[in-house]
Amino acid sequence: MLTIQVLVVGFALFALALAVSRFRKRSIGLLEFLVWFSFWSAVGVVGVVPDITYRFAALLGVGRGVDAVSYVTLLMLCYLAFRQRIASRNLEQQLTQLVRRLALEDAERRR
Amino acid sequence: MTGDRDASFPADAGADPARGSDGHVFVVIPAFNEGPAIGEAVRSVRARYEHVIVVDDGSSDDTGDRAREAGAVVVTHLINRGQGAALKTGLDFGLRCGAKVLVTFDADGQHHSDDIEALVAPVLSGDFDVTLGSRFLRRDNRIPFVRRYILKVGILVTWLLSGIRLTDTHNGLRAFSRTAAQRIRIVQDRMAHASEIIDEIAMRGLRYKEIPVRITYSEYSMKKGQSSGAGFRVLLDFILGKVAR
Repeated sequence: MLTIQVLVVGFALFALALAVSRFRKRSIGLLEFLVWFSFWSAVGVVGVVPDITYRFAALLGVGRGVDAVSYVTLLMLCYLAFRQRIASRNLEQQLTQLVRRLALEDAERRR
Repeated sequence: MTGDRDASFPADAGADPARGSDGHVFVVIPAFNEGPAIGEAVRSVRARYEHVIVVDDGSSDDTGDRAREAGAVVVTHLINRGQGAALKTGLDFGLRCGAKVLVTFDADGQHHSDDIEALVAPVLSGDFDVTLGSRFLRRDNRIPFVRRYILKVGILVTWLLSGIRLTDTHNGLRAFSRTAAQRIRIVQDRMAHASEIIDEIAMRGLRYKEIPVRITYSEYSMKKGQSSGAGFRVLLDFILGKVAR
């Protein structure tokens, strides 16, 4: 095994353990746990058997395994960034609603 | 929360013969750190209209105090949320006070209070739900070149996204009927609220009209205004808001 494979598998195992720990503490729900478990398991498998990415690339019609992984990763990151932006926007709106409510209540009291 | 008691609107907001205005017209002025300009803005409006609501959007200076001294009722955001948020708060408070027409007016001295009557009249008569001030309908407005160009781009984008063709899509001087103010939904906290208001007018089928208004650019207002790059941020926020709706 190459050094990079050891690092990838090691990190995947660490992330898996973290996901299990968070799930047991109920910090994350079942669905989110299953998503992260699947994801880090896949990372671990790729770390042990990197050639599997070539089969994945062939399926997608892409030349190299690492290119296929890069494209998929980029798409996932964009999606997660979009989701994060939406969540952040929702929080901002809730904060505004709270600030507005306090302002209106205060103004009503002083009318 | 702010300590001092504001001047309050009388329970029976009737007409004020001295001002020659309808007492059900409320002017909403969102303000953030406008201490140097807010007093004059409020006084100029109060010379014509009795009911002025200043929404102090988390200012760190004496905006609230100066507005109060000038005779406005001040509604205070504890933290800064943006002009769109402040405007919505002001509209909500005006509705609670029984307003029949709500006018939005900028705090930085760019707008002129004598333009309000022309904006209010079509709404009071019931012919229109919303009137929108337009600086481009007056030839004597001196608009800086870069600002003019950015506004023209905004007009084109608004037309493409909302289907409404206007001559000025980012003018803070507007009048809403009570019904229109109740119906439009302002969710954008920052400057994209201007585009959102146009979008809401289109979506809800509100009757609108553009009215020529004067705009005066001063060194103060130019410094306080949006930078050219901020226009792109406004566009992104507006598009994201439409997608996330």
